[in-house]
Amino acid sequence: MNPFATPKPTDLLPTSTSLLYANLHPILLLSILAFTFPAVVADPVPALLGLAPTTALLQGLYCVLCLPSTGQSPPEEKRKGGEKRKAGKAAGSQDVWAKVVPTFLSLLLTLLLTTPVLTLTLLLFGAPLTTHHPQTLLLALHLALLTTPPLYYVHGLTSTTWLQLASLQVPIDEVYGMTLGACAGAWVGAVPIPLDWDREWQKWPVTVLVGCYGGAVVGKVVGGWVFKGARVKMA
Amino acid sequence: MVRSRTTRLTALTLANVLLPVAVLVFAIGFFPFKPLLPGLAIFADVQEEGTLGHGQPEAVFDRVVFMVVDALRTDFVYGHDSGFGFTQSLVRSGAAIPFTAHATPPTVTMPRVKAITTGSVPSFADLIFNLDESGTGSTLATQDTWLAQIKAKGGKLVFYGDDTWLRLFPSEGADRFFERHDGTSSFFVSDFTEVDNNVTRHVPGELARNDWDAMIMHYLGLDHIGHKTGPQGPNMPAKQKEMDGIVQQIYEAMEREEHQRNTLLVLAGDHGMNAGGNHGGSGPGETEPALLFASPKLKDRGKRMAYQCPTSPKEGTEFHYYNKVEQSDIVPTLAGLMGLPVSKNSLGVFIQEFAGLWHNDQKAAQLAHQNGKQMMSIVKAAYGDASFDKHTDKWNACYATTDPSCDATDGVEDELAAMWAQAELALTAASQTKDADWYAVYQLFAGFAYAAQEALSGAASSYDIPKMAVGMIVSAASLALAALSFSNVWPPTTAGVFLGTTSFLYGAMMFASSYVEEEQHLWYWLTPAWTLVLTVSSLARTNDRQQQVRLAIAGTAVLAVHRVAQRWNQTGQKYAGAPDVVHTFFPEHFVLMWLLILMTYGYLCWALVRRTFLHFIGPELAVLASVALVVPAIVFKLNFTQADAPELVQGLAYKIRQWTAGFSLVTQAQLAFALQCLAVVMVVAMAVGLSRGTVLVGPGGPAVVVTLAERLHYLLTLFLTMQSRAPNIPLVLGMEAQRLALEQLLSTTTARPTESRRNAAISSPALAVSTLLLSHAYFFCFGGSNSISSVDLSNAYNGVADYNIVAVGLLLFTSNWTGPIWWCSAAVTLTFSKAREPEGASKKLMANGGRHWIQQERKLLREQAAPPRDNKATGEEVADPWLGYVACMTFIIATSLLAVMAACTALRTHLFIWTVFSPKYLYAMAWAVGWHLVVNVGLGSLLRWLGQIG
Repeated sequence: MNPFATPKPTDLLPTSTSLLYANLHPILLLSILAFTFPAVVADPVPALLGLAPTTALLQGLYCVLCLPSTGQSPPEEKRKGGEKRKAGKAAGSQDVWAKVVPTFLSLLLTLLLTTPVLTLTLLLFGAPLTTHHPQTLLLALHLALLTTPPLYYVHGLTSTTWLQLASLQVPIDEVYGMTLGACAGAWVGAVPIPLDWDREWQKWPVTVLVGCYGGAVVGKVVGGWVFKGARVKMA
Repeated sequence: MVRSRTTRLTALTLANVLLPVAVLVFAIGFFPFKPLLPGLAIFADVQEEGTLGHGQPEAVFDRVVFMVVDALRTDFVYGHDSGFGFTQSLVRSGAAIPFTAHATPPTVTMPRVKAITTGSVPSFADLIFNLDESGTGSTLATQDTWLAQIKAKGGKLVFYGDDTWLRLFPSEGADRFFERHDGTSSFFVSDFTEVDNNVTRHVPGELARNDWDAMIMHYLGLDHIGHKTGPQGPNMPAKQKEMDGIVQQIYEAMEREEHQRNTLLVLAGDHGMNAGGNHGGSGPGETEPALLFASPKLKDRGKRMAYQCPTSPKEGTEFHYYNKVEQSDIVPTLAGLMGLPVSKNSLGVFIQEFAGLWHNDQKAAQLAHQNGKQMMSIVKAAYGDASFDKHTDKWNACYATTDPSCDATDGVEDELAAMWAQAELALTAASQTKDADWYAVYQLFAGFAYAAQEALSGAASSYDIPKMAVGMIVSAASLALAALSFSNVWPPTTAGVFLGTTSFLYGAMMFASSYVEEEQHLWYWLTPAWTLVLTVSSLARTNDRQQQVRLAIAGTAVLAVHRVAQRWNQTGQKYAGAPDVVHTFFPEHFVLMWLLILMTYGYLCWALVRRTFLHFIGPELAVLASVALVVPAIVFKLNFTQADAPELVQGLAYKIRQWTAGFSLVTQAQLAFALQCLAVVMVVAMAVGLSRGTVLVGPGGPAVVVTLAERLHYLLTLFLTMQSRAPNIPLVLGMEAQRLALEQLLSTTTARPTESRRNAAISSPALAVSTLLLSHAYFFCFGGSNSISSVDLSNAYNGVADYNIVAVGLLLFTSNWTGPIWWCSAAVTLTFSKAREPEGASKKLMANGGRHWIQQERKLLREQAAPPRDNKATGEEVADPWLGYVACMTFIIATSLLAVMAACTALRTHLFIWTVFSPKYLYAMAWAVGWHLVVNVGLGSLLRWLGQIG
């Protein structure tokens, strides 16, 4: 693979299951959050721990059902006219294990690599330094689950691609939009904390968690529909 | 669309001229001058011949011991954990009447003393005078106070304690207030014992004498303990017991000594303190000091209430014990009890609990009537004589005819008139009947007095709305002009969008009181985001892997320093007193703190040698000069900290302190400042001399190894460390690291140009956003907030022996805006690019042992300056970043000013107007005039110009 090639926006697998689940996915994500919200407010640590496998499962399903895995994305020159459909069909009939294993690896990488990195990032961005460590760690886990499994699944582990992802040089698509949305949502989620409303849900990390989920869903929808193929320009 | 430089410059100049105009006009409308009734009150003013006659109710007390304990919060006296055991037994026995006295903000000593003595509600402008040590602007010499009333009666006063009183009441000369006095300064809050012993040692002698009518004492120790260690501090119980002992001493003298039989003891706090031990605003505890009257004679009073003590505060409150009165109520109460006329400007109401002392309701009614009449003259002054009389006449007519249409009152003035008319009618009726219900008359006049107190203390009465509107229009014009001074607005840059968003968020935030109190969160929240944007966009500009790693490290460094700095000083209201580095970590690890401080000074020393003095004097001399500059600064900081926070200075540092004990702090500071001035003059002269001898380097000249702006940057840093509290000095190291990281992140060209130009290739909006965010973030990291209580006065008198408003103002500003001033200078250094020295050039210079350095440097400059002459077109490529920088800053300052003004106008009847929004306006004034105009536009442009020529 040419290291300086700019990635193309990711297309979903063109199967009906894929389309169905891709549309169901944001609803499911919001539902599980809404369902566990009272528990998260009451006692964040066990609630977040309990929620994490569900989120991981939903994200895993999303990878398996809807996304082309790393090597799978057909090269540009072959993607012409009728051949596209053919390629899609081929992908749909692929062996399930060939998809589950990369998904599992993506989730594992998310747990072992992204979570620690995001924990540090959260601390740098103002998470409590000396207290609430379990909460911050679990928040990072959720943010990691929302952002990176599809990215690992689609883009693999090429350092060049990841550098491009980090410096916003990748065109927007559903997956990337979801990542950016979750991060921006986490940042915006910190806003209500200092207000003097004295509500229980203002405590760390409830608002940021809600921001992550909300941002991810908004990012996924907007990235997949409105801004697909657009690039973030910084001048 | 690109505007010409002339247009931009004109618009920008106009915008900056309009800013101070807007600030001033709005301030005049917003902080109105309160008219004071002149002269001293006399009984004839308020006596009613027809009904109550000339006689006054006899004085119950002829002497008063007025004991102020600074920051005496209610729970310290009445609570279960109180050390005031004896005082509590007095309350139980009925010999003392306890109150919670409401202190109106600003809860700092001077306005509170004014309220306690004049009975008026001090205007917000008094706050500014609170800093005015000379006392000329704010003396109470000519105002009507209970002290002046005692003096007018021929009484004698003595005073011991906080010298604020001596500034308010002239203590020298023919018409001096105090027969004997001994003031103590509250400058170093580390002093818990001396300040109080200095008062207590006079007590036995004064109690034995009978030549005084009022003894005033003001104890500071408890306040100092609060500031240092908070309300739960380890020294607090002992201090409370000590104060209780004084009360006991005085009370026992009252029982024992014949001449103290008719003495009243008033124990009062001037204000309270919050959970962090500070005060100034309206937080819980700050406005609730204790107030207690004690005398054996108080046991004998009618309608006596029994009080439990110790007790718990009222349900749902933290500090509300017993009945709540206003602090100003002290004035009419003292006047009534001591047989004095009530001071003219008093808004106080005679406290009802004392009415029973006369065992005669008619006398109580007479006092209430006089109290009401005195207040009515203020009501008339506020609403106009004719207008109020008209309302009263209307109500008199109504009550005479019992016309049912008169039931509804229309507005506050009308309601007051109705109450007054009704009370007067009742008085006339009562004076004509035998066995009249005088208690009902008392209630009517007291009711009027309370209503008048509420109406007149209210803030909403006296704004000058047209002036406020003009102020807003002018700042809007300034904002429009600032927008005009941008070179181009479309297409927007990332930094431009960020700047716009920041302005919008900041402006919107000014309308929410909780966000004004917690403003630091906005800057703490925006700074990492901006750092990320900056890092990501700079990463996108390069493909060089090494450069990318360098950029990532730079971004992380900015974030990491920012994160640590955030925890340096806890600020804001919501979590005031929460653990932080300065107040929790350093007291336990002061050795580490001093190591960090020494590291900072070590770095500064290195920077002075390798940057400031580079090529000017030989390296050996440079080391000598740097040490000579830095050591006095360290010694001064050490000695200052020893006096200010002795718990942080021990061991070797203590020894150094002993060696230098011969020099006063003022001399030490003056010496350090003088050396710094000398160094500035020398460096400027040498740099200008050097560039004169070579080709003159104007804007767009060649890069030099160190620009004059950078040379001066380290000297300014040295000065600013002198103006910060010692625990904050290590923050300078962090800021320096962030500046170096920003140099990497801001540079827009990654491919190094063949010619090194003087101006760095940076985007000015990006520079402005970075400086803006970090300036504000560091304002809060250094311990600042939007509350008056966080103004740090401790470094405002460095090297100043006699009060000098210019010097103190300047030092006060530099000690509170240390971070923002530093970042302005840092921004100037960032506008210049670093020259890459031709290989071996500096070695050549140094190899000569520093001799002939001028010739060498000149040669070097000539070599560097030569090529651009052939190729003038490249010189214009890099535009002057400073103009754009100032334009951005003017834009955001004008926005924030407009927003604060709009918030103050829209919320002028808000509950928090005097506690949150008015202080914010004062801070906005300081940011706009002090930081933006003086520092950014003035000092920054000067440094920028110096950097271009030298």
